[in-house]
Amino acid sequence: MATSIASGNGRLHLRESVYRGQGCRGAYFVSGIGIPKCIQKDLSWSHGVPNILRIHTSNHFQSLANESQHRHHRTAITSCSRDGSTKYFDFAVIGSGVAGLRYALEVAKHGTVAVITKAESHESNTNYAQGGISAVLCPSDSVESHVLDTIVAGAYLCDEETVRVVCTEGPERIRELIAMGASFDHGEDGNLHLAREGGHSHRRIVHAADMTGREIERALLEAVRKDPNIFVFEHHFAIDLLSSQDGSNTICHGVDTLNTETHEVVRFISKITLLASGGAGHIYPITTNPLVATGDGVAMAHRAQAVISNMEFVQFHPTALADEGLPIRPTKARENAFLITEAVRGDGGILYNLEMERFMPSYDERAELAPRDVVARSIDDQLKQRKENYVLLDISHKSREKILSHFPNIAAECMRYGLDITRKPIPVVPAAHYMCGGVRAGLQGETNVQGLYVAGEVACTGLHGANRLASNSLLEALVFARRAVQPSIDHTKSSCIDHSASHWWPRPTMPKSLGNTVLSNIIHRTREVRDELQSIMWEYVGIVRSTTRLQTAERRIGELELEWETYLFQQGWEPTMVCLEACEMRNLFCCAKLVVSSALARHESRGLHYTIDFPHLEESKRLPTIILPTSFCRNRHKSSGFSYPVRALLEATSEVHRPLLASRYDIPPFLLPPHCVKAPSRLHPTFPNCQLKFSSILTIIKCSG
Amino acid sequence: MATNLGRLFSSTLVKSEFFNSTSRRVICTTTQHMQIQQQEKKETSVSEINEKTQNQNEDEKKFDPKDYDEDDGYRNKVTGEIGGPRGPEPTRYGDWEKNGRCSDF
Repeated sequence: MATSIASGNGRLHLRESVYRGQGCRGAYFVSGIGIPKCIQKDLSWSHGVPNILRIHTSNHFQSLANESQHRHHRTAITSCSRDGSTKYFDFAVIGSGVAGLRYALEVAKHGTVAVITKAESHESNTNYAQGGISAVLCPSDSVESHVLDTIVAGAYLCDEETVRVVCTEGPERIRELIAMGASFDHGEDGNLHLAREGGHSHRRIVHAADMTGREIERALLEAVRKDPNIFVFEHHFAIDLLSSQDGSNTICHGVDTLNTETHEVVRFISKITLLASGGAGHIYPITTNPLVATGDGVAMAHRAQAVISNMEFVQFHPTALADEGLPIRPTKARENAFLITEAVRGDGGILYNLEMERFMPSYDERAELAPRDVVARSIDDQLKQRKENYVLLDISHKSREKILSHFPNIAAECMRYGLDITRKPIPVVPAAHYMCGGVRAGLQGETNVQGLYVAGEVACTGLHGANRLASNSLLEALVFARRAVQPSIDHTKSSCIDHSASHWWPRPTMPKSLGNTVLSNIIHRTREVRDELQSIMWEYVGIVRSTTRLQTAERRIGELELEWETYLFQQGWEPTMVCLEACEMRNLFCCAKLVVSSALARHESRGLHYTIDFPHLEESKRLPTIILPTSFCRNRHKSSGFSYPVRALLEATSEVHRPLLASRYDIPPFLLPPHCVKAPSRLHPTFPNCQLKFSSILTIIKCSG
Repeated sequence: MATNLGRLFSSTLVKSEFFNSTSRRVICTTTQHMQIQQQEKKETSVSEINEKTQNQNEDEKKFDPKDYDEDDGYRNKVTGEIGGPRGPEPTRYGDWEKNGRCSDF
C-alpha cells in the first residue's frame, strides 16, 4: 500500500519518466526514496526537477540539456501506487483542437503540459472546420466592421467588449499561426487571399485551400510533438474535474481520466487546467461533429460547479444528406453529416416535402433563397408537422453538365448509395453543427472555478451571442487560448502542487467485477438509450421549439435518465465505476438537460433559439442565460462556509433511493463528482476577480432542473 | 514574441510536400476516384459521372499549364489567388462549399 508524502515517513515509489512526445520512453525506476515532509515545500515546479531526484538522474539530463540550450527542460513526475497512477503537471489541457494546442505551445515555455485527448490528437471539431478563419487583414477593412458584423449575426446578444477584443487580436493570432508553419492561400501580390463569407461585409476569411482546420491542426500538432515540455496522452477520456472547496471558492486541481486502451484510470494533478474539449453535437441524431463531441467539457465543468451559459443556442445547418432517404442505406451509420451547400439552392435547387409539395413559398417570399435560418426553421416545421424524417432538395431540372461540374462531391457521394442527383431529388435533413453556449468565461478565459480556464467551442465567451458568424469559431479558439496563457502562468508561479492532493478524492474504478456479459449488456443498453435521447432532442428540442414540447423533453429526458441509471444499478453498477460509454452517456444527459433548461428559460426568440410561444425579439430579454451550479443555489443564504449535503445524503441513503435523490439534485448517482471539502494545506493565492458580469444576468436557472 | 516564436518553431517551417497545392489536388482527386471506382456499379450512369469528375473538377476548366505558377501552384485568373480552390468562388452563396459539400456557414 503506497503511502502519501504527507505522512512524512512513508516510502513512495516514484517512476520518473522522461516523456518524449507521446507515450513514455526510457523510463527508469527510482525506488525506495523516503521523502521527508519538509521537502514537499521545496518542490517548486517552475524550477524544474527537485534536488533529491536530480542526483540520480544527472547523467540522463546532461545529454538532454546539451540538446537544446534554449529550452528549460522539465520533468513530469509520475507516482504509481497500487491504487493507480497519478501524474503531476503544471498545466493540464483537456482537448487537442486548435484551442488546446495553441495554449499548450505557449505555456510549455513555463512548465510541463499534459495534453489529454479522447481519441487520436487530430480527432477534433477543428479538424473538420474546413472553411476558414475570419480576421481583419485587408487594409480597407476595419475592426469596427468585423465587430458590427459579429454583433448583428449574434442578434445583439454578444458581449461587446469580448467581440472587440477578439476582432482586434485576430490578425495577430493569424500571423503567429503562419510563423508556426501553417500555410494559407496567397494572392498574386503575395498577400493572404481573403474570401468573403455570408454575414461578413468585407473580405476577411483566411483559408488554406479547403482544409483550413486540418492545416492549422497539422501545424500545431507538429509543433506540439517537437516540444519537449508537452506530453500528449491520446485515448485518455476525461472523467471528472478534481475540485475542492476553500471557503466560498471552488478550486480545480486536475482531472481524472480513463485510458481507453489499457482500461486504467490515470489521475492528473495540475496547477492549471484548460478545458478545450469542444462541442456536444451528439446530443442530436444528425450532426456534423465527429463522434468525440459528446459534451464532456460542459458536463464536467457543470459538475465541478462552473457557471454555464447560453446553451439554448445550437446552430443547425438546414440541408445535410439524409441517409434514410438514400436508395441503398449505408451499412454503417454516418459519423458526421455531409452538408449540402447553399449553392445548390442558389443555383436553382427546390425544396419539396415527401408529397412533392414545394413548401418554402408558404414560409417566405424568397422561397429557397431565404436566409439559412429561415430555411432551417421551415424544414424543421414541415418535418414535425408531417411527422416525417427528411425533405427533398431537387436540382435535377438543371443541366446534367452543370450539376456534375458544380457539385461533383454530392453527385459522387449520392451515387455510392444508388442515387443519381441529376435525375432524382436529394434527401436532406437539418444537422446540428455548433454550440454557441458553454462554460461561462471571462475575458481571459477564466471561469468561476479557480484554476480552471476554458477556450474554444466549450466556452461561452460572449463572442457568438445568439448565433455564430461564419468562420468566427476558429478565431475565438485562437484568441482565448492565447489570452488564457498569462493568467495561467501568473497563477502557477505562486502556487505549488500538494502531492497529497492525489488522495483527497476516491478513485474511479473499472467495472471488472461485473463480468463481460453484464458489461456488454450495459453497453448495449447505453447505446439504445443514447439513440433514444437523440430522438427526444431532435423531436422536442429542435429548431422550432415550443414550451409544451420543451417541457415534454424535460420530462422524457428525466425519465430516460432515471430508467438508465436504475438499470445500471440493477446490473450491479457501483457509484465509483466508470466506462467510456457510461461516462459519455452521463455527459450527454447533462448537456441535453442544460439545453432544455436554457431553452425553457428564454421567453423570446433570438438568433438560433426560436419558439412559437414567444416568436419575437424582446428587448428587455436581450441578456444571456445563466445556469448556476447547485452549490450556489443551496447556499445563497449562507454567509460563509460551505456544506456538501448532497454527497453526504447520497452516501447515507440506500441504493434504491439513490437514483431518485440524484434526480432531484441533478447529480448522477454513479461516480459522484469528486469534490472534497478539505481545504488545501497551503491556501492558493486569491484569484483575481473574474469578469462574469453577474449584474447583467437575466435568466438564472436554479439547480438546472 | 514573434522572434521567440520564430526561433522556437523555426524547425517546423517545413513546407510539407503534401501541401504543395498542385500535387495535393491530383492526389486527392485520384484517391477519391479510385475509391468511387471500387464501389459496385448499379447503374451505367455511374461510370459517366466518374468520368466527368475525373476530367473536370470545375466549370469548363481544363488543365492549362499557363494557370500554374512555377513555384506556387494553381493560379486563379479571376481572383489572383495562388494555390486556392479551383472553380467557382467557394463562398458565392454565403457558405463555404467545395464541390457541393459545405463545411462552414
